[in-house]
Amino acid sequence: MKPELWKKIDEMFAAAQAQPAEERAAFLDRACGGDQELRGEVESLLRARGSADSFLEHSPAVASADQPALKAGAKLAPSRLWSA
Amino acid sequence: MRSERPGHTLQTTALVNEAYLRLVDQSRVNWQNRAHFLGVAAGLMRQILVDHARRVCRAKRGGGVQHLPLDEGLVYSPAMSESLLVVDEALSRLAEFDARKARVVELRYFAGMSVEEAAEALGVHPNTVIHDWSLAKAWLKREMERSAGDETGTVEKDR
Repeated sequence: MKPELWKKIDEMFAAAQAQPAEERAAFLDRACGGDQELRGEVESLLRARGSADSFLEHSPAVASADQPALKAGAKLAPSRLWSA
Repeated sequence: MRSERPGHTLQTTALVNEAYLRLVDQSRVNWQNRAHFLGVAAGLMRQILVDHARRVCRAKRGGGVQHLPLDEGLVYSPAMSESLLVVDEALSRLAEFDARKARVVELRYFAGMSVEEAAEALGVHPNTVIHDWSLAKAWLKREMERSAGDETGTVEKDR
């Protein structure tokens, strides 16, 4: 990724995100001018962002109750229960 | 860096303990402030998690029975370990052209910090962290989808 392009993407992504979803396409038409590369990058990143809400939200550093330890149907090896 | 104890668990407390032990090893570090400390700790936590994920994947590929403590198996399934390694690789690529966004992901994902904690560690406004996190997630998601769809990519698939 070229630094100049990434800088433009960074600014345009933030500006587009501040627009209501239904106005983003028109906004990008105006704001990107004829820069098709920039527009393509920002659009694909906005698309990826749209499907990334839960992506990376469960840190492996945090053992939490919503990361189920054992899923239904998991097979356990034969085990012996020792008295407490 | 000393070798790791085999079979340790990676619940949050254990991870913090492990990070602490590694920090103590770095006795020559001259801590500038709390933010500096948090930043170094996050890097170590990433390293510990990645090392651990590599071992889980190796054990899986090596076949045979894995003897993992039950709680470790919960937090760290082979599938989770693989996805953690894929994130780690993609994150290293992001760091090549946007080091701060890569740091935000390291703090938020690998060290489990909140937006406010990450902002403190980086010395930036929380809004900057929110923006960086959003764009970094989008870029990483797209990058990982491209890697997964590319048979010749460097990402090792085992499915």
